[in-house]
Amino acid sequence: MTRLDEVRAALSERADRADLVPSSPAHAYHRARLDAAGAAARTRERPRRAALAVAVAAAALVAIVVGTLALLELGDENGSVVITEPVDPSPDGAPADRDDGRFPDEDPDDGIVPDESGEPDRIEPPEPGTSADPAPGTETVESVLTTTTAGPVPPPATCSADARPDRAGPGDQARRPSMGGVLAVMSSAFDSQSGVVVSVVAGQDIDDQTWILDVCTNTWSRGSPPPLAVAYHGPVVYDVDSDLVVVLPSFADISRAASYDADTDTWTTGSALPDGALPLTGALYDPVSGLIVTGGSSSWFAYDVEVDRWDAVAIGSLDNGLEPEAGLSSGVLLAHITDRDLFVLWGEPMTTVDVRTGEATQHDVDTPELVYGWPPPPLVYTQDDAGLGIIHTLGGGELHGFDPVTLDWVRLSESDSGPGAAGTRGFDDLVHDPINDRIVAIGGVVRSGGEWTEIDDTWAFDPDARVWTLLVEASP
Amino acid sequence: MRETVKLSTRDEQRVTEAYPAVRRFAFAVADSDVDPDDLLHEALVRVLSRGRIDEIDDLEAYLRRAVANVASNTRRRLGRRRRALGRLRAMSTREVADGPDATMVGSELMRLSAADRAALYLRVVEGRPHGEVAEVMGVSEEAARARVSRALRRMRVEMELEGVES
Repeated sequence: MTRLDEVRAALSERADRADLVPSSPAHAYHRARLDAAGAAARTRERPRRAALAVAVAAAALVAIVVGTLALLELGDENGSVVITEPVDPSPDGAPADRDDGRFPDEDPDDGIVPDESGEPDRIEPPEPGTSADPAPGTETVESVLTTTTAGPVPPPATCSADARPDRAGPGDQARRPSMGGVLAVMSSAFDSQSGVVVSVVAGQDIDDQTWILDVCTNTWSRGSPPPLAVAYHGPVVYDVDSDLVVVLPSFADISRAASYDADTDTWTTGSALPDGALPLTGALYDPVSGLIVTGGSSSWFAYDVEVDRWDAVAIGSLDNGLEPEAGLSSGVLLAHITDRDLFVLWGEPMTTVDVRTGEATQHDVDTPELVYGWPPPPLVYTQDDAGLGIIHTLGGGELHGFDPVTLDWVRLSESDSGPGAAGTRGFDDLVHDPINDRIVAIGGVVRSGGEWTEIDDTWAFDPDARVWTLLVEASP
Repeated sequence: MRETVKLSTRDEQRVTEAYPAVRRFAFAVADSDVDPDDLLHEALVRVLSRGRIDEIDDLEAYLRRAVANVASNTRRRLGRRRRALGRLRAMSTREVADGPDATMVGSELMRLSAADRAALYLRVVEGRPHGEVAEVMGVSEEAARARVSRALRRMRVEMELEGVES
């Protein structure tokens, strides 16, 4: 083989990887078209904001002149001047910095608080009286996330006394969702009141599937198929106070929300995303409002599954989007740190967001290379009753943990143990099983000997003992 | 009753026809720490943001050029992240089994610029004449020839013997 042949082979090998990663041209087109529409809308918005800024500046100048004249003439009965706290001047109640005529990237004071030190030690709890107790004279934005309260949460399911969830399930059971080696996506959530993992497998050219894993018997079974509206689905999340697994749409014009009731094995189709919404890349149940908070890299919504309603969530400081370089894992709404009431937006830099106030803070975190590997690994957040949580991610078969408070990474398992033993793994899914306090890793594909092969095994990771246990063997 | 979803438009048809070849190109051109699908997505967004794509004669070449441009810009943008990853690599002696670009040639390819890889891919994998390489790269034919030649030299290919210069 000549040197040129070697170069040609190496370049071809890189191009051939495109065939190993499922991708739908139509899906890619629509995703790009929506992002292009969003970019165009922001461009159209720019002159309007500039004009508004001029108007606001002129009004402010007039106010200063008038106020100064008034102060010269007026005082209280003791002759001293009374100065009140400023009130948000925007007529629609939006934060004042939203319509200042500048885009966030043009102004360092854009609401995203940069990490000046470069290496923050940890995310500190909120100061008393910051968000819940606004300063006198100021007005807060009435977000649906502050005006809605979660309903009562029934106790989670438990396994029966004779159950052995640590034992592998039956060897002859129907296997967990098959991706079919085609353009499908698997997304899962844990229904804590039914004690089951619900996995939705949907995509192009396959029969969309619902699979249920009983975590007490480690047995998969098939549920009724999801509606076609979720074929191009986005995130899947369990709505705790509604006791429904909610499948969110990915695109405004081709998919809709749907919810699955594991108790009755029934699907209900909901509405589409509001017009102009960008693809959603992550979703979380907000235990404060009881709503599902979801968003992409720039537009966020609250979804109320019980009344099938979308409400825009004003994250003003993020409306210019995140840095795009972090790959597919960036911009994923990932975790809610309960004791700080902060949402973690995955990416590089990682961002924490106070959705009640819209304040965002970016944290410069050095992330292990495998976590941003190829293909993008799944992410799951676990949190104990005390609010201590870890973001887990299975990159290439290695399990890594990230503490979103201390901003520390730790490798929890090596690539030759558990699901990593079969080879470098991708397109798998992770779910937290709170009943057995473990992380469930579901299937995917493994690369061994240069080939990608679908695998339908199921594993559990004990975060205390840091040990993997095989729950369901792969098909022979 | 199942719902039907209307997906087909002429723009979509043109994009989806060009998509597989452009995607392979993106995979060949992308740096190892950049997701090729992200690269392609950004290129698609830029092209679609320009408005009417039915006015673009050779959409595939146009998309390839967008991919090459985005790849070059991304490479410049990623300095900070690369430095962080470099520190991590220095801390770990373990190499990823089956990881990308494990071969020596693969590693050398990754040291080329994205534009050089794009030119090489078009010339030595797809066998396109320098004129077509130039069209995709948005440069003159002479500049394309020089870029291919320079990239081959950097890859230590004996050009006279290999015959790719002609």
